[in-house]
Amino acid sequence: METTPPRPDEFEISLFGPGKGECVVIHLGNNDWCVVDSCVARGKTDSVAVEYLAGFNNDALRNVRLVIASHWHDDHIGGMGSLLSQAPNAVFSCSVALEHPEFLTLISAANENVAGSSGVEEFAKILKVLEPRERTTPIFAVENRVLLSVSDANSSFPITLRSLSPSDRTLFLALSQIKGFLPQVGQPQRRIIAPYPNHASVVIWVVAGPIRALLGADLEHTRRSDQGWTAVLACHSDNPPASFFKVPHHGSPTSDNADVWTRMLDTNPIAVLTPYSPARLPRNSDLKRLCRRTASLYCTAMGSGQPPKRDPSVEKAMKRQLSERRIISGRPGHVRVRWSTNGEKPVAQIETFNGAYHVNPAILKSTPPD
Amino acid sequence: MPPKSQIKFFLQSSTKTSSDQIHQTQVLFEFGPASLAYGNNTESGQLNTLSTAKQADTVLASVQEIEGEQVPRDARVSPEVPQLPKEPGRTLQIKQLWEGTVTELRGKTFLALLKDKSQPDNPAEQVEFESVELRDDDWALVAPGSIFYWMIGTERTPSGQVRNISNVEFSRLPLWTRSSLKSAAQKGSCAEQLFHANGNHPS
Repeated sequence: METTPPRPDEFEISLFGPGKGECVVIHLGNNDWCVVDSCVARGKTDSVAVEYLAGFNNDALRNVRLVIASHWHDDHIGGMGSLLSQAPNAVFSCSVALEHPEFLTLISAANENVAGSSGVEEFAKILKVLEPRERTTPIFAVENRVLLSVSDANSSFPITLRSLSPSDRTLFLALSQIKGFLPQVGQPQRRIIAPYPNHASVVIWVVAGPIRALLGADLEHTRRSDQGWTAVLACHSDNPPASFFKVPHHGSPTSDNADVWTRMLDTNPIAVLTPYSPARLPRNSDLKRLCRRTASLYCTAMGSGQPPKRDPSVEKAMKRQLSERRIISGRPGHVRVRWSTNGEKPVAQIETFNGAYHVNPAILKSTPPD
Repeated sequence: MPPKSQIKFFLQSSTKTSSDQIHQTQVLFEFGPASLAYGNNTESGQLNTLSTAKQADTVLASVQEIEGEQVPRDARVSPEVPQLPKEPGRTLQIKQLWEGTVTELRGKTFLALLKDKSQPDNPAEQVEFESVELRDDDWALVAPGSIFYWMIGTERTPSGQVRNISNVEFSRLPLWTRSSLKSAAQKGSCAEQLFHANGNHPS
């Protein structure tokens, strides 16, 4: 893990993944931080954000101002409870869909459930961490809401984080989905499996001095004017366009909207994505499509890695009964972009660590189709 | 690959879960990271009992929940553990045990998330079962969120015959009751109050 902290006047966006999912760490200036989503590396218990920030040895964890859960899927929230517990001054933020009684009942039902649960279980941990704190109310993200704004005299550069989703319509859909998960009397106490597509994902627009960044979470494109990326485009009015893009939903075709690239993003923006092996994302065709959109595409890892080697008779039995086999959690790679906000035109310094790579379209051309 | 008849023999030897069987189960199985063994080659007293079962995270829960009663918070659910006849010379070496959760149904196949119970440090895997031998009544249990255990091992019969065994067993999960759902709703309401304690609400 890289241990060189940014200078106080440097704006940084670091993307990690895949642990079981992805994590975005943002330097807000003056050693203040924000974390969007969380993942845990294979064999570890803490969020990669904890590992990264603790590695600076400069109290960065105490200076985490905001922790945002873009949505409640397992691959975006793992380890967030432990991150919040080690970031005592952080305020929690999540989609407004998750403040509704239906979701909170679902969390409690998951706690009652002897079978245990997945993403909602981590939310229960978050609630426990928040309970004794002075500020327990999260900042609920909705379309066009400022989640954080720092522009006082002490800040190196003014910075604002604004949520661009969920829209009213997507909120309604998300709540309908959540209601469908509420258990009924007489049903077996099964585990709760997160639904797809994810309607309530929080997209964030970051303005840091002259720099703009778009964090796409897992929001998908539905072709409805009041949902997904179309709704985001309708509510967004800021200029200039963003020079950094966290590609949504691991580069899947369902999250791709051409208008986002032309209306919200600069020419050849720095675009970064994380793989998600269970859904085999990104596919080769996704990388090719994204390479046509930008020459500056980065991926944090090739995938989650190879399955462990087991006894030959076990491997044989697995091969006989399974048609697919993919590792869920990997060792996260890291793409780090730092901009100095001192000069007139900030220049991005892009670095890749732990297997992260620049996607070379020439190599993709020679690889077979998916 | 073992003949289907042998697998069926093994599956049919399993019995219903009940609290009475916990003790039988304990003396039959020894859970641990290495190869697992059961059988009457070992005296039951020499095998770890409840604590070893806990290590494997498979302590049995009573599935017979009475309306109005709470399921114990620390209860865990295990599959119906297959039992072989107590026969001198019969041994089973469990080479691999997973806990699985069904994530998606695809006709007669299903996707599942597997957690390695033999080597917990191994990463979880998402798999698609193409062919799986299940008892007819187990198919009714296959649904998103349902839990199963998959064991791969080798059985040695008294006559010295060695056969490979692959066994998928679905858990009989307790049912949601009115009281447990009411309790969940009350806790949800407390969480809602916690969320709104500082009066911050999106405009």
